[in-house]
Amino acid sequence: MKIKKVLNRTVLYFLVLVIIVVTLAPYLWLVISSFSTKIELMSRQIFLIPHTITFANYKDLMSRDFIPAAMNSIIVTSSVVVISVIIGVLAAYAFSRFRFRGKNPLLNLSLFTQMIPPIALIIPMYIIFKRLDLINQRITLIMIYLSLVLPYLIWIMKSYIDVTPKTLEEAAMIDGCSRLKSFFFVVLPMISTGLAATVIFSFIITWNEFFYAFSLTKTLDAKTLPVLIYDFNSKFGANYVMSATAGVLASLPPVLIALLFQKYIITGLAAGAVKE
Amino acid sequence: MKKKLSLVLSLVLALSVVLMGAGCGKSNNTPATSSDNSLKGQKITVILPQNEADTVGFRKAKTAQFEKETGIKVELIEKSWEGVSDDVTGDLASGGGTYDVIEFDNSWIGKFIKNQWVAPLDDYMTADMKSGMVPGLLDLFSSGGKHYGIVWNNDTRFYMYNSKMLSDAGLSAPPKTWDEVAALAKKTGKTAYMDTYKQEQMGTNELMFVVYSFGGNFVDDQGNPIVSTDPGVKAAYTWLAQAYKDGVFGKSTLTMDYEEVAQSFDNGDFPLMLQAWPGVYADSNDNTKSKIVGNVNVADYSVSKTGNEQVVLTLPEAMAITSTSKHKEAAWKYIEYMSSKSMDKERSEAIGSLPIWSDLYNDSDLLQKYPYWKQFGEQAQNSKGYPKIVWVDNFSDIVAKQSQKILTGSVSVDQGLQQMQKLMEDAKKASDQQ
Amino acid sequence: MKEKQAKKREKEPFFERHLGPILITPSTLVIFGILFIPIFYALYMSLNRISFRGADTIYKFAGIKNFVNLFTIDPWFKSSFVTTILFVVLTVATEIVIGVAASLVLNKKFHGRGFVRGLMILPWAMPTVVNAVMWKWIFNAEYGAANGLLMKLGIIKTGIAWLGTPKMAFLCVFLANVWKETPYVILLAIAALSTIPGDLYEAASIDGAGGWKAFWRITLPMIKPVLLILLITKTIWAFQTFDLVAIMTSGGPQNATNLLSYYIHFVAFKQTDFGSAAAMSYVLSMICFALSFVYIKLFMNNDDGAEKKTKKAQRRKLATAHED
Repeated sequence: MKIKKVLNRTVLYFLVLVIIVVTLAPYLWLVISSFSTKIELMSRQIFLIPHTITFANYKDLMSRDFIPAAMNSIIVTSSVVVISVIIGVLAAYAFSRFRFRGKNPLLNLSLFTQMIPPIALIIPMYIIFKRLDLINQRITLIMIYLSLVLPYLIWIMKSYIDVTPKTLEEAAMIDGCSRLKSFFFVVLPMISTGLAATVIFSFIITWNEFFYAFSLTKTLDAKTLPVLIYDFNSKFGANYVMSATAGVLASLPPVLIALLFQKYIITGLAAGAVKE
Repeated sequence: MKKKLSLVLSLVLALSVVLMGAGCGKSNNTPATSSDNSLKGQKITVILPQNEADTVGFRKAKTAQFEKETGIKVELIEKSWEGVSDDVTGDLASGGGTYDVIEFDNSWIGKFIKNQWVAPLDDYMTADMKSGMVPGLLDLFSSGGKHYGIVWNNDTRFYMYNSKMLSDAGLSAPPKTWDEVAALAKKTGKTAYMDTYKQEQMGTNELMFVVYSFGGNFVDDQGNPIVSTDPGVKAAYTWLAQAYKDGVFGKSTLTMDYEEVAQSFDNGDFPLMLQAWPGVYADSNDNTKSKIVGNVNVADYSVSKTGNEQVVLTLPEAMAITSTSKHKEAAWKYIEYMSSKSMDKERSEAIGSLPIWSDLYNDSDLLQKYPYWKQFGEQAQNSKGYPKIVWVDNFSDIVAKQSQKILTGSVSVDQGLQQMQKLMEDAKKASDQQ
Repeated sequence: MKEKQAKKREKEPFFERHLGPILITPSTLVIFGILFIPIFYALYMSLNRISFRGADTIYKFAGIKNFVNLFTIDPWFKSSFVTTILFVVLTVATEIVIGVAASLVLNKKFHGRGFVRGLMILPWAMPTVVNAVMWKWIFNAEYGAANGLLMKLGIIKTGIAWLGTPKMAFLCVFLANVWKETPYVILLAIAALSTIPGDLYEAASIDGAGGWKAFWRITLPMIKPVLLILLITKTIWAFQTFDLVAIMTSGGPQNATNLLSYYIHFVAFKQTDFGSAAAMSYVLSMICFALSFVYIKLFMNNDDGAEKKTKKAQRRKLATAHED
């Protein structure tokens, strides 16, 4: 029995180790690449640790439009997150607690829109935004990303609100709170875990979006980080070192935020899904 | 609520109808006004790909200088080549009007002129330009007797080699024929060359070179596909398929892009760079990037079937003015400024680009800095690029895809070329109908 | 009671009375305002042959000809279609199987569990563009880490051109996608597992059902709702895969990784055949709809269905109550 237990533990730790290595190794290679010189990367000599660690790539990157693109990413992402939470949670509340005509079709339809691939919409969108003189503007990206994020956000938040007991709210309303007030002070605190999870979810979707940004931005007035990374491709090929360096930096915010709030993600995001 | 919803819906619907109506056929006539003083304060938008050789920011600096001298404001948009390609095409196809000066790739000529997306430049060009610029470059961007583009990147290729690796292999001069290339690989037991035969336009470029150098052609003068009947095409693909099997070129050639090929050459992995572009020479002699400094040479011929007929690739990129531009005069001013003879020379000195003015190939300052231009001149006698066909994107796509099948032996040479012929005929038919 | 409520409602101010619709208006406007016109515009385009003359875009009505052509004339559509279906089915299935398996491992108690779970977030949170660049670099035929590792271990002597042959390239793209997308399955599955009460397993073990049996009888049914959601969202996302092939393979070699969304992009922006591109996009969307529908049907077993029916009946009751 004891042997079996030890064996079980060994197998378990071995499996965990496999999971860790598989998850970490590719990313580590990216990080190592970003600290290596081009000539060393191409020499096939090294494999794990570069002989000389250089920050030249990062320095070089800073002179290559990284900062303005990062600013665009930050502005677009934070706007989307803030706006989507405000209007999305209110909508989720309405969808959960109110009865009005067209409610369910509307909810389903909004989810249906997500099944249409962006490639199907990009040409009409380009034509329309061009006529409205909205090409190459951050506001355009913000609006599009809102339309991507909101259906999911409403869906998940609604399922959260669905399972919060109505009695507390009603009690608050009897005490003289208005409907909205009781929502803010009673319901909202109860769903904060789910809210945190969806905020991170929205953040990651927005920060990482490439296709619309690639098609609808032109200059550093609006260009976001994924597009900048793609632009390290020239007619002659990809600049791996620069892509790797920018890639490491671009992946830091979502990864760090996700790691910081991992508790919320694991309990929150999924719980929403479970409840649905 | 119902009322409200229907109100919203009808509003959106109305908006969509307006926009759609506007979408189909609103013409945009802008007669060119020709008064120089009015140009001041105008704003033009220029979109060009990043120039990988331009590490010193030459274009940006000169554009700023242009703004200062003329008072014309320039918004310069630089993206990856793919990005520019999608952007320009997408914008022009949705009515244009965003750009005044655009990137005009040599492969786009047929399509852009058919769609009337670019304006002829003949009225603007001076006699000096018409007689002084490299004739091949002018011809390439002409159609129906009219000029449409002024080259900014003279991307003409030439044959480079690693002299040390060759002498180690016992060769005093680089191979002149394809058979000699194969013999070199056999002798050393290593790959003789690397290139890109990737499923992308760059792969098609290089495959075109092989076919051209075997005396072959994909299409005839009328633009009809002839791959299944042309003996040169068959010879080229027969050689390529065998070479793939024998390891004359590395298998990674099917996945590499230009940047990687150059990197590998600088790394000393293989001796022959069959079609090097202008930027390679400087990089291979740069200590921080290359391990073969001092060993790079330029041949005064290029590889071909028998050693007599020679061909090099030319894939220049030009600047053109969109037909929808509202500031054609100012746009021309910019092109003229950026491609004047003195600017051309300055650019060559700064970033090692090949000149677009014939004279400059004999310019003593430049020759001193780039002595290999002499050999290059010999090679460039006969340069060839993309066929001027409207279905060029299909052409390029078909060549890349089918060639990979033939090379790897997925299909036999004959079979593969038959399929290629059929695909090209269909593509041509479809584009004729459009 | 009902009358009272109705009266009370009328007394409420407009804002309170219409609070529901008012609250959803901004979101609804954004979602549909952005997407409504493009969706119908694209439909209109798919029914036309579109050509260009200078600033003019010429629409020539073509009925369903664009759709028919996809299956008759277009030389690449069918193979792209098959590749896409294959890619979606394989990636989604693999991600869910591996994901659930890994979540079972990570659900056990061991030292550093929090850390390892947190680690799962890394691939999921990484931008897709970075993921694509990273794997292209790893599978680089000359300098990639994949070759470097295998050569160091003595498994291969010369480098492999990973992205050079059709099957291998497809496998590489598949791996890159699985690496990035599986952790999301793991995260959701872990959370779902944590909601299963432990006494269920205890009861099962008393009945003599341990290990596999317990997994099939208890674990799987309990996490099924989550799996359904994962299936649908993963499928939709897999169909939209664009950056990965655009960066890693450009659809090659020999067209082996030319996923539909990438091919549509080629037809739209290279061939400038907007009509066909729009038609293809509609076909792609339809497959997404159809598959999601099938999943829902398959996964809603009898009791779920029954539950839904009663819910529906309840709703109908409420609705009628509201009417009077």
